Amino acid sequence: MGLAAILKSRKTRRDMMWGLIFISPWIIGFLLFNLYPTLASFYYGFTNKALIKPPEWVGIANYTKMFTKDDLFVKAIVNTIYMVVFGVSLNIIFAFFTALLLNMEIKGLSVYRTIFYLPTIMPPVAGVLLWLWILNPRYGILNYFLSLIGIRGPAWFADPLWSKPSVLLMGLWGIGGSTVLYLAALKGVPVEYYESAMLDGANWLQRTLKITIPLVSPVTLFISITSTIGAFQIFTQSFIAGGENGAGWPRDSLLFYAVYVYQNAFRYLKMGYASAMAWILFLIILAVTFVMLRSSAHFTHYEM
Amino acid sequence: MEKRKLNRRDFLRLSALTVTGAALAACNPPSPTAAPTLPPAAATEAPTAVPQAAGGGTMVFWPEWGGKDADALKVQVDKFSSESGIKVDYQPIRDHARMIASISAGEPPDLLMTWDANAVGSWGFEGALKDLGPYIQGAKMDTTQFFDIGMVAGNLMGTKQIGIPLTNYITSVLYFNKDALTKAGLDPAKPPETWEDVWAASEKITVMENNQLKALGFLVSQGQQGHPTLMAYAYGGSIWSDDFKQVTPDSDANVEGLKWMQQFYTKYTNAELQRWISSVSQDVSVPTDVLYTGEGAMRIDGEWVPSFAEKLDPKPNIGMGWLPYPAAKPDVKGTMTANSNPMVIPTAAKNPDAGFKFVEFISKAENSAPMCVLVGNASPTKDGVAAQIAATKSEMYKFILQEMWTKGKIKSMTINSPMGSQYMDAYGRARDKILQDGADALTEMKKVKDEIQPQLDEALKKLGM
Repeated sequence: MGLAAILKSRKTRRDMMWGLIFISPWIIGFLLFNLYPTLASFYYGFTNKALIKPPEWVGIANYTKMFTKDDLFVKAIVNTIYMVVFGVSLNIIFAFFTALLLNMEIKGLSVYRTIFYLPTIMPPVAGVLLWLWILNPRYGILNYFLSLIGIRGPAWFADPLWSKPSVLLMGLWGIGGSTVLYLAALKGVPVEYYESAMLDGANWLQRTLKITIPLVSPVTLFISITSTIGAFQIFTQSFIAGGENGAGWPRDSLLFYAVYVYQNAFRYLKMGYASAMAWILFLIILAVTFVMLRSSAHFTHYEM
Repeated sequence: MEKRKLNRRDFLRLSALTVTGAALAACNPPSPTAAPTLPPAAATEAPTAVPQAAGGGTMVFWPEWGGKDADALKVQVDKFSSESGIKVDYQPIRDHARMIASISAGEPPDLLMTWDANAVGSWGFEGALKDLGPYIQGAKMDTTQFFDIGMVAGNLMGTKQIGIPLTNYITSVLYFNKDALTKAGLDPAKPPETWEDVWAASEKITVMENNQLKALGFLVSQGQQGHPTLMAYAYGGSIWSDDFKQVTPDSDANVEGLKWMQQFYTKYTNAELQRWISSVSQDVSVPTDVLYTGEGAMRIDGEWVPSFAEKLDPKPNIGMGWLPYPAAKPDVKGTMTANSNPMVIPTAAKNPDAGFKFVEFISKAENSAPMCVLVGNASPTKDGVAAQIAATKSEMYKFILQEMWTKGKIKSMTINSPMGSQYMDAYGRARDKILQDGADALTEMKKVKDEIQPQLDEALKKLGM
């Protein structure tokens, strides 16, 4: 039955009208604060929009400049991809193994689960400031523990070679959300599979590789996609860690894509160029997500 | 007639209608404003009389200060309100993005004050700020009273005056820890005068153990020495031409200054310096500041330091001196750099006249001086500084006002240019290569010039300059 046929009924039309009225606040908000700015930024990407002067059409000049003249654009992309590749994979690995630990029936389990989840609810800015202290080269607690075993810890955030690993380390602190998802998935794995495998002589590793990992693969896919989208937009850590040294410190090693977009928009007032960059990021994320979804059939199992 | 009861379905329908109506009523698109255009260079405008605010009304004021500085300014804001009858919505905001968003959306405050005078230049060149020239002329303000650098910081390369300084501040005082100098066998009553003296003193004070830096004599590239303009001025030159239309990072003075800084990185290694610098506290409001503890014995910093240091208990044992100069160029002696906190009125301000009335009010010595004593910045006018000297109890700060402001050769750190921010960032990257990688100073600075000058030429051409 087509929509036209459905709407022929007066009662249906009335119900439709009331339904739209009920959801109209959301629709209005979406149109004004999502769709309009999105379309506007698409248009601005083809202009030299700055602060308040009317934008002038420049065609694809912004995009051309991005790919041919802007070295920092390339640096920002490379830095961001680094975080995506290593950040997402480490997040998944650590969250999975933490969930395995928290799935054990031991005393005080609820306390451990709370401890592991707590950092997730800490405001990101506070978290970064805390980690700046933990990773202080001379007075930080991590380098102190390393010194006890005779290792002189690196300069962490102050060293361009170690700044991104510092951010990755910081990111591992916040695996609570992914851990909870894995925990829920682990609870859904039928115990009979493990019993059956044990009867066949499978050890822990075999059971994990052949049963656990395949059966939680849907959650792995979800975390991969959401973490990838989040990692591409990494901003706060770089912005706060840079502090008075400027975003991207040290030596642009923490110049991430979103940070560079922000710099172009709010420091250089190149709103048009920043808009073009934002759309390129959108297309990159879209492409990566599409590839991940299309290839997911090969590694995602919804049942044994 | 039978009374009709309101059933749940009808109640929900009515509620939905009410909420939708409220949401629609709240959507108030901004009234369109005509895009302002920058007047052509050297155009003169006939002065217009500033309409006298009839008393009453409201103005919105966003100063980019916090803590004690915002509190000190609030005292004057309240005084202005009671004298003028104008209610001031005072919101100290330390967020450039918010300021830009408000300007861009056509909903700016009536008066803005930012410490980032470079940003003001960028906004001004975009036509986002009012030309205060007609206001100044209409109010018959005596601009000769103002220190030059304050007016330069609010001027768009000679085309129009878009900012009036709330305060000015010298940024190139050489502070030192007296105990650290004494411990190294130096006389704290005779601080280093030349850059060569600073290097020699620093070598005596710096402590390296097992190739690890434990104490640093001079905090190279820290404090205000990190500002791109400082070392060029300190060596008798500049990174801008006199008319600000040429960038000159490859000037002899700037290159010499960078080579002086480079010797620290060569001697102590970049890795050790970065490690040490990033681990210490450099916050003048807390007792653990490395200058106060003596771990970092000397630093170039701003005139606000005494206002923080003297509030600590116990007071840190620090002294101060003039910005060093090269021994081979004694004529550079007395050069100091300064910056400004410009007050600006956005073009789309709803009550610009009230905004300027506050500018007039706070520029008067009797209002500016008491605020500046608390903030630790210099009053923007000569009368204001004189009143400030009389009210200042701090001997250290009195020296800055009495000696440095009146006898110093003050150079402006702020250059309002359409490429100001990009230039500073490109300079910073090149300087990192020079200092941290040992790259050749002249080669890298020439690259900066090659990168920025064409963009500046194009931007000035678009502005008709």
